[in-house]
Amino acid sequence: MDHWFWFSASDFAYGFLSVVLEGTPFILVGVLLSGLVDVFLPPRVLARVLPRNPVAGILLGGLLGAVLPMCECGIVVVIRRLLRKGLPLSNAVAYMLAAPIINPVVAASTYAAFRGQGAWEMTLWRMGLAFGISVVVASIVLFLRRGSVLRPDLQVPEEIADTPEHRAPAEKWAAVVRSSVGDFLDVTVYFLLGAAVATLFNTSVNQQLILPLSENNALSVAGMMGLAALLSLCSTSDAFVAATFTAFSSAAKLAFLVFGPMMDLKLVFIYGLVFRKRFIALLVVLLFVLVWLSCTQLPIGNFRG
Amino acid sequence: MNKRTLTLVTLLLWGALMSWFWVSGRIVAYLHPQFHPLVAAAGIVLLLLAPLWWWATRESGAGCSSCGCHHEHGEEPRSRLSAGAAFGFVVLLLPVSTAFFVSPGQFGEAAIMNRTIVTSITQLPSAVPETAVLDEAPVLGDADEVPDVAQWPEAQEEGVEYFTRGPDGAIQLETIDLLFAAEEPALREQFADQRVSVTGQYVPPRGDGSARFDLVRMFMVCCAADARPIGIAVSSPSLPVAARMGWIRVTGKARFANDGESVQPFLEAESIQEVPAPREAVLY
Repeated sequence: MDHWFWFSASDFAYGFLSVVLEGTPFILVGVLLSGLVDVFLPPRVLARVLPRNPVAGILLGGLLGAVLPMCECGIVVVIRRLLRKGLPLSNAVAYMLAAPIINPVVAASTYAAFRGQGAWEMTLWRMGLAFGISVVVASIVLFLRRGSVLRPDLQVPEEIADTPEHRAPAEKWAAVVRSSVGDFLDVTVYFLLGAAVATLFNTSVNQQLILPLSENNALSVAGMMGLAALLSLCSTSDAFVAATFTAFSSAAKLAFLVFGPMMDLKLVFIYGLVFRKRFIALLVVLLFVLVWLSCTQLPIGNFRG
Repeated sequence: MNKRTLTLVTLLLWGALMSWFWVSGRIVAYLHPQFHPLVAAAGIVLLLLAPLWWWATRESGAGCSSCGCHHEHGEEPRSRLSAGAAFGFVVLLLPVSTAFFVSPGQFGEAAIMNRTIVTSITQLPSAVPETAVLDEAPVLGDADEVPDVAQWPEAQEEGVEYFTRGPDGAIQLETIDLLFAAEEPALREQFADQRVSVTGQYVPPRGDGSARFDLVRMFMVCCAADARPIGIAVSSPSLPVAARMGWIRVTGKARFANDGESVQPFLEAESIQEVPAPREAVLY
């Protein structure tokens, strides 16, 4: 390896545009859904359908992605809206962390990518570990004050009286458009900043840097988690990249696949739409420790066949 | 310019940009085909949202009190821009427009070297050659699990004849086909010492003074962010005069070097020709 950093503006522009083109449709789905939730979902309906038991709510949040699949770019804006509608914080965190992984599209892509490398084992471990870690983090959040976690504008849920149910249909649709466009502008600013930082690493840093780590299990797991954070790939395609790191153990690849969709450079910026900086820092540490411990201590083995 | 107008400009610009990528076909260099319809749909939705936004904010009173979008005080659609909102619009408009004009639609040498050239098909578990001779083949995931070529009727019956031949009789291959053949003994036997023609980008040798260079083609799973360079070594009496990362066609003998641990394909060049970039420069 004769260099560790080699920047090219044209490579950066190409990589950056490809991430933007890939992520924008999913952000649009998120903001349109968010606009509909804003106008047509009264807070009292949400309060009625959610389990009163907080643990049941967290478990439900962790599994919600299976029926309401969202990628990590689009989900933040949806949970921001749901939090305003009164969704308990712990349920929102469980949904936010689990949904980009526990959904049919990601399960299928993980299976396809790991054919010949223990496809079933990797898919089931990925889903199971993502669910477990989401539930653990959400359970910790249960004990935190809403004010210490959320940005000030999200700390007080809407009052039921604020719901604009009395409006004419045209005015309701106008409100959907205003809300969706407002969210699109908000989340896209953060998305672009994150995409730029991730692309800088993705195109400029020599990826051979992490290869020596593959010889040590603990370091290889940490190294693959760091790589997932730097590359900031979409959860629907990251398995295809992880599967190419044949020098690394299954546990290290699993760490890449669980940590990346929950926390990467792009998400650090996007999470800023909802959470306080201190909580984001806590989330980084918590997720890193939990994923690392799980992948180094659990009997994962090396998947084959 | 107030926030309402800048928002309209942003939606139009983003919608036009995404639509243009799709209409012009430029999208093929950036994303896997499965994402192309999504980009087209996003472009149309953004272009539709622009007039809808103008309509939805037509009344002077339409702002925080009724829109539900929870602006900070003073951030209503018709208000003057705060410094934060102005920064937001700069981020929304400037980088994407600049990248649109600067991006060459392919990676250069820096990104190729940072990603390291893939020289074994086992590093691409999802790879299936485009030329379809191996359409029936189980996908390789591990060097220990190389499937038997006898499972693939076309390959067995037609062998290398399944591939297209150029006017000079050379078999037309992609770099990925040779990597595949390197892992498959029966196919390797059929390709070895055959005259083949492979198109790719020229990566010059790095500093050792040899005339052995790399011929690479990008392989994309989802978008350019995950694209990996698939390369084969080419030995030649002299280096091509092509530009670095320029497109060349190398015609020569396919060889396979076995060092006891792995088999590496390489080409012994007979002729090297500069060619225009293929319409689909990326392999999927």
